[in-house]
Amino acid sequence: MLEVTGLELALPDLSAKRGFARAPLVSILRNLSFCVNQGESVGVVGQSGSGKTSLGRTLMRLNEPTSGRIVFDGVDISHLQEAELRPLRRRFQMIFQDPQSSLNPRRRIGQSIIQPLMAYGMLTNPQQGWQRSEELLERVGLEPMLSRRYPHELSGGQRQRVGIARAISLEPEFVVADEIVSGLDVSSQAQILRLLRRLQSELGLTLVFISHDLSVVRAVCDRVIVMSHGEIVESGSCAEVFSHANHWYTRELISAIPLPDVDEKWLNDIDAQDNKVG
Amino acid sequence: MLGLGVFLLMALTAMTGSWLAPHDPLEQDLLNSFLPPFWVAGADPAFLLGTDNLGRDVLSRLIYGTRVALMVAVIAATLTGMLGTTVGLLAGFFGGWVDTLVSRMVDIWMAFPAVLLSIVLVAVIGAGLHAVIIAIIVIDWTRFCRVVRAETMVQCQQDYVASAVTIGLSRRRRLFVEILPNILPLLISLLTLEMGIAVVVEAILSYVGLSVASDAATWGGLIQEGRLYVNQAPWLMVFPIACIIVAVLGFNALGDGLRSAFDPVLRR
Ligand SMILES: Nc1ncnc2c1ncn2[C@@H]1O[C@H](COP(=O)(O)OP(=O)(O)O)[C@@H](O)[C@H]1O
Ligand SMILES: [Mg+2]
Repeated sequence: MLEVTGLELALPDLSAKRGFARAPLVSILRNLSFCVNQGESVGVVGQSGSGKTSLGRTLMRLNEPTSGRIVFDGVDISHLQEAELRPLRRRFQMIFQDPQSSLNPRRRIGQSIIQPLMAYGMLTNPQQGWQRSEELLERVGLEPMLSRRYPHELSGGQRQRVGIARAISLEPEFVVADEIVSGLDVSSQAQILRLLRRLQSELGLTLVFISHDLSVVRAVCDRVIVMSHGEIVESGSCAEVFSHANHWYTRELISAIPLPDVDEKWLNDIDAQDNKVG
Repeated sequence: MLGLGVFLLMALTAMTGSWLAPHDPLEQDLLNSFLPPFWVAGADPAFLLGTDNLGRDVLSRLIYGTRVALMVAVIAATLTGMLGTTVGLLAGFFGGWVDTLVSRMVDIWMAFPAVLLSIVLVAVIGAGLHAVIIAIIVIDWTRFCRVVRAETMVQCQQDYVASAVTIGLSRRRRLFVEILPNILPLLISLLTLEMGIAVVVEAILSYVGLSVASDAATWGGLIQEGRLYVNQAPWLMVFPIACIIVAVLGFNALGDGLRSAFDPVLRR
C-alpha cells in the first residue's frame, strides 16, 4: 500500500533567516525506509521532537520530501503537484495531533465533518449534508445533535472523535493518526482506541499510528517503527520489539512505560470491564 | 449595544442633517454672535448650542460636520482596510519573497512620522475631502497590513489549514474559505478602530485648514475657529471636541459589540 524509500526532509529554519537571504535548511527526517501493507497498522514511536509529526505530514504530502520516494498504491507521490495529488488525496487522510487546532474554530462541527465530501463534490444538497454529518457523528460515538455546535463547545475527546469523523468521511484507504490520544485521560484513550480499531476493521483501513507511548502502540499495532532524531533506530513486529529490543533507545522507551508488566491486552481488559458495566 | 447606538445616531444625523439642522450652517447673523448655549443666562432658545463669532449656529454646524466625519470614517477606513488586508493576507499566506518585500515596505512606511506625512500629502494633492481620504489610506494601510499578516501566519500554522490541504482545497479556497473567516473578527476591530482614527485625522487636517473648503462645517474646523475665542466662548471648542470623543469611543464600542454578537468563538 505504502512504500517509503530513503525519505529525507529538510525545512527552512526561519529563526535563522536574515534579511533577503534564504533561510538555512535544518534536516528533520533522515533516510527513512519502510513499508506499510494493506490492512496493517504500523506504530511510529519516539520521544517528542523525534520527527513523528513531520513524517506523518510528509506522508500526507503536506511537506514535499527533499529526497527519497513515497509510493502510494503504485504511484510515486513524492513530487506530484497539488492538482495531480488532488484525486489521490481522498484516499489518504490524517487525524491531527491537536484537536484544539485541527478543526476550523468558526465552522460548525457538522460542516467540518462533511467539508471533505463537499470538496470532492460527493454531496451537494445541504439538507443531505446535515443528515450525513449526523450519521458520521453517530459512527464515531457522538450525539448527532453536536453537529450544530462549534469546536470550542466540545471536550478534547469529543473533538478528537470529530477529527476522526472528518478523516473517515471520504472512506480513505490509508490513515495517519498522529498522537490522537495523547492529551486524554486513560478511559477516553481506551474508548478512542477501540473506536479506531472498530473503524479499521469496518473500513479495512491501513493505519499509521503515531504515539510517544509504547503501551498504546502495543495495544493497537501489528508492527512498530522506533524513531529518534529523525531516523529509524528499530523496527519489527510488536512482539519482537517488545521481547528483545536491539537498540538502547528502544529499551529506554520500553522501560519508560508506566507499568511495563501490565499485559499487552490491557485495552481488551478495559473493553471487558466496560461491557460488564454497560 | 452602545456602539451601535452611537453609530446609528451619527448615520441618522448625517443623512437627515439638512432637515434636522435648525439653521443654515453658513448663515451669518452678526447681531447674534457669541450667544451661549441654552443653559447659560442670556441664551437664545433658537440657537440651542449658541453661536460663533459670526453668529453662525453651532448646533447646525456640528450636525453638518457629522456628515463629513462619518463619510471620512466609513470611506477611508473601508478603503484602508481593503488595501492593508489584501496586502497583509498575501504576505502572511504566501510568505517567501512576497512577505519579505511587504515587510520591508511596511518598515520604511513606519519610519515616516504619520501626521507630518499626511499634511505633506494633502498639501501636494490639494486640500479637500478626497485628499484627506487618500492621505489616510496611504498612511494607515500598514496598520492593517502588519496585524493581518501576523494573524494570517498564526492561522496558517494551525492544523485546520493543513487539514484543508488534505481534502484537496485549492490555495484560493484555503485563503478565503478557511483563513479569512478566522481573521474577520480581528478585521472588524481594526476597521472600527480605523474609523475613529480617520475622524481624528480629518479633524487634525481641518484644524490646519487642509480638509474641505475652509468655511464648510467640520468638527476640526470648528475647533480651529473656536480656538481664537477660547476665553470668551469656550463652548465653541468644547462641543466639537466632545463630538469627536463620542464618535471615537462609539466606533470602538461598535467593534466590540459586533464581535461579541457575530463571532461564534466569543459568543458563548
Ligand atoms: N515547519 C518546521 N520548520 C522547521 N523545523 C521544524 C518544523 N516542524 C518541525 N520542526 C522541527 O522538526 C523536529 C521534529 O518535530 P516533530 O515532527 O513535530 O516531532 P514529534 O511529532 O515527534 O514531536 C523538531 O525538532 C522541530 O523543531
Ligand atoms: Mg508530534
